[in-house]
Amino acid sequence: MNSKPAQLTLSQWQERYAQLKAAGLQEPAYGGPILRHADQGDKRLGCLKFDNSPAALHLWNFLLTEEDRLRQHRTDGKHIVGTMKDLGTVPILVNSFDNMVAFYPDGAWWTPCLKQMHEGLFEIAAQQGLDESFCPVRAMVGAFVNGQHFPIPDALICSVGATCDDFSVAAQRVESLGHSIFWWEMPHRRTPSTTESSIALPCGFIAPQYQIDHLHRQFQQILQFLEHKAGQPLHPDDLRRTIRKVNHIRRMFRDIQQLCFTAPIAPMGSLELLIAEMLMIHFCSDMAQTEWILNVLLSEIRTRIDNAAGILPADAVRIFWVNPVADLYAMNLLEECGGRLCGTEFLFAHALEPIPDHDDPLTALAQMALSDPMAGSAFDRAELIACKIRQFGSEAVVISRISGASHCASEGKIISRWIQDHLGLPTIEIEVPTLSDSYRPSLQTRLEALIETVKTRRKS
Amino acid sequence: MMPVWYNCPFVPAELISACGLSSRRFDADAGDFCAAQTEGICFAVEAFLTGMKKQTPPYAVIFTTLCDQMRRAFDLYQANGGKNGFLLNVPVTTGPDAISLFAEELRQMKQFLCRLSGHAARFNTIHTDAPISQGSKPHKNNRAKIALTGGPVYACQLAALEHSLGSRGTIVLNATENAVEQFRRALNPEAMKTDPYVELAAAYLQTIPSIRTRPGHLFYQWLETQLQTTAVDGIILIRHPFCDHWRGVEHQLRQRPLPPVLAIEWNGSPQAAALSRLEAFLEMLGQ
Repeated sequence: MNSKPAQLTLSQWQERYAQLKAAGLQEPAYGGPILRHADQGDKRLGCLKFDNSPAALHLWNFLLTEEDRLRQHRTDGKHIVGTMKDLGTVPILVNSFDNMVAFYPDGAWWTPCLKQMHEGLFEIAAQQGLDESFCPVRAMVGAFVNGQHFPIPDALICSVGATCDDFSVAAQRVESLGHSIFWWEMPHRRTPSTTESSIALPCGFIAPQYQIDHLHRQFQQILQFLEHKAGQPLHPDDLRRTIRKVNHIRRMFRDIQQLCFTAPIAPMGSLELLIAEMLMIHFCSDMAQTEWILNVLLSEIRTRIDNAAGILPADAVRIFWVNPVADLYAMNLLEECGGRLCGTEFLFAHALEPIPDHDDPLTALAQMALSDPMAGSAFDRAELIACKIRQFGSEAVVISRISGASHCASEGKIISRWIQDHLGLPTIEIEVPTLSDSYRPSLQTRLEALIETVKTRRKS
Repeated sequence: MMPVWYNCPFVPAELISACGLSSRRFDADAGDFCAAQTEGICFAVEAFLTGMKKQTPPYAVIFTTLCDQMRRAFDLYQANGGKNGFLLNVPVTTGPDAISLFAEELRQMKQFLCRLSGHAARFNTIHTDAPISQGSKPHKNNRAKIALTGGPVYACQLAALEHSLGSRGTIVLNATENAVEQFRRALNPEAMKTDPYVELAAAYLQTIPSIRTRPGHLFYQWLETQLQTTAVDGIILIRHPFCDHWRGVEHQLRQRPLPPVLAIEWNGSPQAAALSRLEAFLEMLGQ
């Protein structure tokens, strides 16, 4: 059987799947052909190109079966906790309880893309007062109303304060529909003055100590809330154990990024790297399976690098991508235009960093939460991006605006100017809507122009 | 005295004065709004930035984190070379932790202001009385009683709105963002002596109504209480283009047992469509 790395369409994957099964492919319980997800409504998959490895198959199947997994957790008697907005920190606390599991309802923002907008979530959100002037996260409101895309959580915990306006309004709308929310206050990360006590954070940021103290108190309250819901106390050792597991997973993912972004030939497609990164915020409701899949993925990537094999031409332009894309197809488009992913900042860099080894695990979580790139200034974020660009050797930057998002109109310009001034890299801003088909000519032109610019610079 | 500009009701003007500086609440003119045209940026935010550019240095500006757009406005101000800017973190929850956090932020703001003024804050100069209420205008018979809510409504906008209401409507309650500090409670003189930052934080955070406060029902409860004491025939919600918060409020206001609501997206001077809607609204109210 030919196992040369390649990208396949959905129908080509059917044939590949049959071959793999015939060759004895073993799959987890959520395994099966990718096509079945498209048949069940994830129509966008029909427009995408997927990596042909079994590792990618497991990754896609794991991602696309989360709803089933959540329902099974409920059947098994677990409390489902919807953690909202903080992207990466509160799930660690939740998953430390043996009778709780965390997921992000925020993830519904991809549902209209996957369903090619046949599911009507945006229409429901509009009926609830959130029209297209809001970012795609408004789909979450629709999902709470129709209850068809995730089980309604037993409890909701949402960060507010230094967050985006769109999410704050959407979460408030969810609460007004009768879903009680435990709100916790996320301060804007301020650069400390020279005279005040400060602390270095995991993403390289610095923050005043009093903000960590505040977040420590917030996490204590979240913990009390969870203990009440769980009906049992949480021993700090259980939290420490979860933190160790999380750190193991995060280090594994960092290895994946480091290998993929720096390999001479891209060993894995941008789309799979995006999906793998998304697992990091709450482990797709199953930490053990996330660890297993990343292991399989890492093994595949290492093998390909050892064999000098990959899925893209060696001269593919190394692009750093800022912000997640509402339409998954944008990742394929980047590669079709001659680019490859070499660095990302998808708004949750803090969920990729190992958690500090601190005697008090809540202090460690407070430090992680305050490392959220969105909680600080656009300059902080630009510096973080620059640091990663240097690490991965990216040649150009794509800042992908999110339609309707409150932070994108100003933040993108600041980051773009900062990168150009400090690193001299070509940078473009594009806007990727939920379904980008009608924008494809314009997106393609802009991406191709960027890639040609880099290739011209290489010659000079 | 160096002027310190701000546009958020949660900035304690008395703290600016106590630091020996002149507090200036921003009031946009029509020109500031005309300059506000950036896709995706709230016009009130952009008008503020435009208005600051027109000031003669030296001056200072206090931005707040009350909305994401204004938080980013501080970045834009700095990116364009703005000097003497301070970003005040305003919590959106109102519990004891939020008060402590806000008190610490006010302490930082005081240090920033004292560095500018060159002398220490004099808290004993702070008046502890409640802000002067704008009160209800004497109601004239046969005019529709209007409650105004929404984003910041500047003097030029308010004058234009009152002109448009003419003899058919009177604003009896102004609860727009640049008028809500009138509802703040008085400061407690004893608490001010004990810890002025905590007292200021508690008074501002817990008694100034805001749609940004979470849980969100607190704002609607406050509004409903106001409307029990001030009878109104209709509510006009003014919002600026690209403001997510007030756009989100519109639907929820309509869901509540409140008088009829008219939402107007009003950028500076009244647009023809907004005027037509206002006409229809007044007509519906029997005017």
